[in-house]
Amino acid sequence: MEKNITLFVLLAFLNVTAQTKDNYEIKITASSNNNLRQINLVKVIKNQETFEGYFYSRKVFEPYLVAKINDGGFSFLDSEVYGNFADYLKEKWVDNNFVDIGLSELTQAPEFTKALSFNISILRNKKSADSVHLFIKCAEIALKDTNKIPSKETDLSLKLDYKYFSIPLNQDVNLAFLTQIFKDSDFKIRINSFKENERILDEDLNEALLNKLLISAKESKFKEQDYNFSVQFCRNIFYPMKDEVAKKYFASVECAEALKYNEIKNVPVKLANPVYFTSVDVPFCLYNESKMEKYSKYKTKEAILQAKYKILIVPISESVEGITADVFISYTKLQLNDGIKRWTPIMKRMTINYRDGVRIELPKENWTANFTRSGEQYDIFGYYDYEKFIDESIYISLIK
Amino acid sequence: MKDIEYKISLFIDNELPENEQADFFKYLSEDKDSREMLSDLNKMKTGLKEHYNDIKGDMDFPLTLVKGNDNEKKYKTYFYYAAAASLLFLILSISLLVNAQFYKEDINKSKTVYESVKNDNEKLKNEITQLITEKSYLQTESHDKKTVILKTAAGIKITPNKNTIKNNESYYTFLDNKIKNAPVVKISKSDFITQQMIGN
Repeated sequence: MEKNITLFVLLAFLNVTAQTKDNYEIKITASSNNNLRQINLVKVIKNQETFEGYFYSRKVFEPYLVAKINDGGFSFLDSEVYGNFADYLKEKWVDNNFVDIGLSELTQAPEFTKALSFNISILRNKKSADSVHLFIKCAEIALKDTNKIPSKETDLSLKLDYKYFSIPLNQDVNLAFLTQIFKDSDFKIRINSFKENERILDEDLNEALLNKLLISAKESKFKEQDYNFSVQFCRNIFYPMKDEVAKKYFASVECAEALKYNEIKNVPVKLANPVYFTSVDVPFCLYNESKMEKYSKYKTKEAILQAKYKILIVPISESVEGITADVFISYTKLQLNDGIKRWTPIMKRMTINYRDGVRIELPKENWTANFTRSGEQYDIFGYYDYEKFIDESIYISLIK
Repeated sequence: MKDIEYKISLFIDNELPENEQADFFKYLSEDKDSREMLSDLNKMKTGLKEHYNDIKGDMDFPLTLVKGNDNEKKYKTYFYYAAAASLLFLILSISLLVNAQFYKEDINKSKTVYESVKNDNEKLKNEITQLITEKSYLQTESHDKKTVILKTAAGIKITPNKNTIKNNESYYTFLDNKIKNAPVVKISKSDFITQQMIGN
């Protein structure tokens, strides 16, 4: 009898331990109503961690949405900027079990008209393994008068809100309450569940790249497991600004946390050391007005005009400066799936600085894509219609 | 008779209406006191007249100027001058009144213009404040402090400086100091895993 009780307790303990090992990949996508701008926030949440960040609508330049994953959310709690209001807000924030923050990056830029700081917790749904409970805490702050620079607490309005609901795993779910706040964008959330060390990288990778990747993984002396990598894609545009046109062709940005893999699908050899992978999907924008106007009527455009960047990081060694890693980048600027190779995969060994990270400037390639889909004819000259007007870079930083 | 004293006074001054004189004299004939009063007042008037005539010769200025026939022309001339002056004053007043109406309209117009200018000024002031804020913000973010794209509601547009943007002073990099200041790695030909796809 005693043995049975011991076994039961042990099994219960193992069950709890197994549950806490569940990890979630959380992805929030904000798409502009015209579908030309998209922001994806992706993060892996382990155990009791929370997902924190912010959205804000800009006041200067162009009024588009900015989003970022950031512990503590938006920096409007900085009392140097917002005076007593910050103390009041901080008090409210702490009282409501929000995290206390120390973010300093945006404290000098009261450029928003509306900002929303969020804190998301995922709770296991004991009744259904296919869904989870989401507990979202939000603080919405807005300028009462958008033409006035806020100088005192009365210039700003604050609203704290809570949401608690269940969502199915591995499915996109609309976040309508965010659309009500930022009316120019649609928001979706997707949560994938996985168990650590049981993930197999299921990506169609270039054979040459794969071979190099295996060699790098073998060479890796990186045994430290306390690091994660954050990846951000930046597309800088210097297309001649022509009022409405400029507004249409804005860049997209993605922040993503690279996930760790020990296996790659269809590769018989297990990786000697883990590699980190993430992909970035951003809308492809043509900087050729007549073509853009022509293609805007095409039904196939959304599926085709989509760029995908796959980023693999193989940590090699550690030094005083940072982590030396082999970074692999494979990208397709259009989703054509016609077997024709138009873009060249890249591998570069670099040091990812502990504090500053590293920014990789992507090359400009001269490619063409002349094809027909569902009777719709596309003639895209990569350099003249796109590359000439942009600089693309990928920023990688360490998350400890 | 009521007010007999008043009527006697009027009579003495030749101001008693003729239609009342019959009753007046009838009353006098029946009332001794009234007759005496009339007599006294008449004497008083006569005495005053004689006294006036006595002192007339000693006066240096013509006391009869007002009523004297010799000064009638002069009096009329003064009257005409006064009438002309009044007319002139009237014309001037009307003219001023008309001008005042015009001025009123001008003032209203000026007020509208003033309000419009004031609004524009306020708008511009806000824009400038905003620009200064943005500029100071951008300058803190920027190494070379060059101009970047600014487009405001008032239509102020600073042309984008391509070189500045190429130096990564663009929309996203200036937003995030970390990215802008991060060490940069450039991809060279040797970094391509396969032969570069050119012109395919």
